[in-house]
Amino acid sequence: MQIEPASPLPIFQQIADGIRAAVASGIYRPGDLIPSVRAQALALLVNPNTVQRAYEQLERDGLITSKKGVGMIVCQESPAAAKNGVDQTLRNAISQAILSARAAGISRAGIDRIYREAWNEAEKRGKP
Amino acid sequence: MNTAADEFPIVLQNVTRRFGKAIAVNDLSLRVARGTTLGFIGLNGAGKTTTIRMLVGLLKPHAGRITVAGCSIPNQRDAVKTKLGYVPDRPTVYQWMRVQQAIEFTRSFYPNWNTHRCNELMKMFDLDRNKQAKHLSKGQAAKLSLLLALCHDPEVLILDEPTSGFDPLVREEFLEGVLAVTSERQQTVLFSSHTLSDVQRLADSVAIMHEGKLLLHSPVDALLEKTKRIRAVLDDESASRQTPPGMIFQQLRGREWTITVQNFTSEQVEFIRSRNHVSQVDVLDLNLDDVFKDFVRGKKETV
Repeated sequence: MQIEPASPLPIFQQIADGIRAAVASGIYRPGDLIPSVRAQALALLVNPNTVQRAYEQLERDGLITSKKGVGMIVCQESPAAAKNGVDQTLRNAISQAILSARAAGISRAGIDRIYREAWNEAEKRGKP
Repeated sequence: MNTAADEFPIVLQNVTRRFGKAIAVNDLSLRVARGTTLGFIGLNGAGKTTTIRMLVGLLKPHAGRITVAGCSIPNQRDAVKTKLGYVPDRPTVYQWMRVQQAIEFTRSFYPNWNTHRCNELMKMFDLDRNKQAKHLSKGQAAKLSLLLALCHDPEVLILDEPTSGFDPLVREEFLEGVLAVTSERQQTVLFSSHTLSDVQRLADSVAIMHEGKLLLHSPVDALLEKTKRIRAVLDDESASRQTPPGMIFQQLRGREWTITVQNFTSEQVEFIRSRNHVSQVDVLDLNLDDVFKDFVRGKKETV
């Protein structure tokens, strides 16, 4: 997970999004322990209150739960919930990109074309 | 027991400080809640260092009241010493001393010196006891300053531009050192900085100073969520413009009109759309850097 402190997205949201993506992609699986608030704060170099806020959001959303004497673990039904969350994050990112494109006077057809080109480039880069 | 001092270990009330005729800090009121970190930002000369020097008892305010860790400053300056850690903007260790001598020298001022913590930090910061202060690298010197400010387990930690002039690696190590200590013991921290990405990493809330006055004090997350830039294209750039409530800064570049607003709501967008001849109205998110600049630029414009 990487934090971008210069991003307009609050850091707690970046952390929550990062863990959601990690759960959705299977890096964390149901039952896995996630790093403690303090360990996560030190690893990411952010205020522990910020990590705490991210964990509280994930707990409210039913992705993680606290297990007595152990720490925070990933819930059984997490992957599906995480996937919805990741979809939402992606939607937000795309809508920001659309806004910048419109600001530059690019039409909807132009955006569609650029999207297909970008997809193809990403495919190429992803190949071994 | 004073409950206000319990909740807010740092309190400034209507504090003013002049240098000759110039007002460095003008009627400043600010509180920092226990266990939270405040990022203290502003342009050079905004009054940050003067405020910090008053907080640690090095300068007397001309008006107002200051309380740090329940002690009234500067009257109870000696009492606060054991409860306050201070990292000045440049190292104050005697250059001829070895690290071990600097530690012993500083320890002699603190009855509550925690030798166990000191050894822990020596290890964590990887400092060499036998090295002379003048031979320490910039990063090592800064870590020694931090160590000397932390070994009496202060409840309040004040840092004046702690990472200015560091290379990225040293900066990272220093931030790690601050976090390692503050994260385990609910310390209340105030640090001034020009590096807004550090503020975004470390701070719960941010205070912006401008020309001696407090411009804004807000939780960082709420500030980012509620400050937006609305961008519109004007049909006629020479027509008079109606600006929405909550505007802090506006800019016109050709026909592109951008308006930065605080306490963002869709009503502000509606206002712009309905009272001006505009097309393509978009709302853009801002990072802390942009938010800071627009608040300060907006202030300059109105002067």
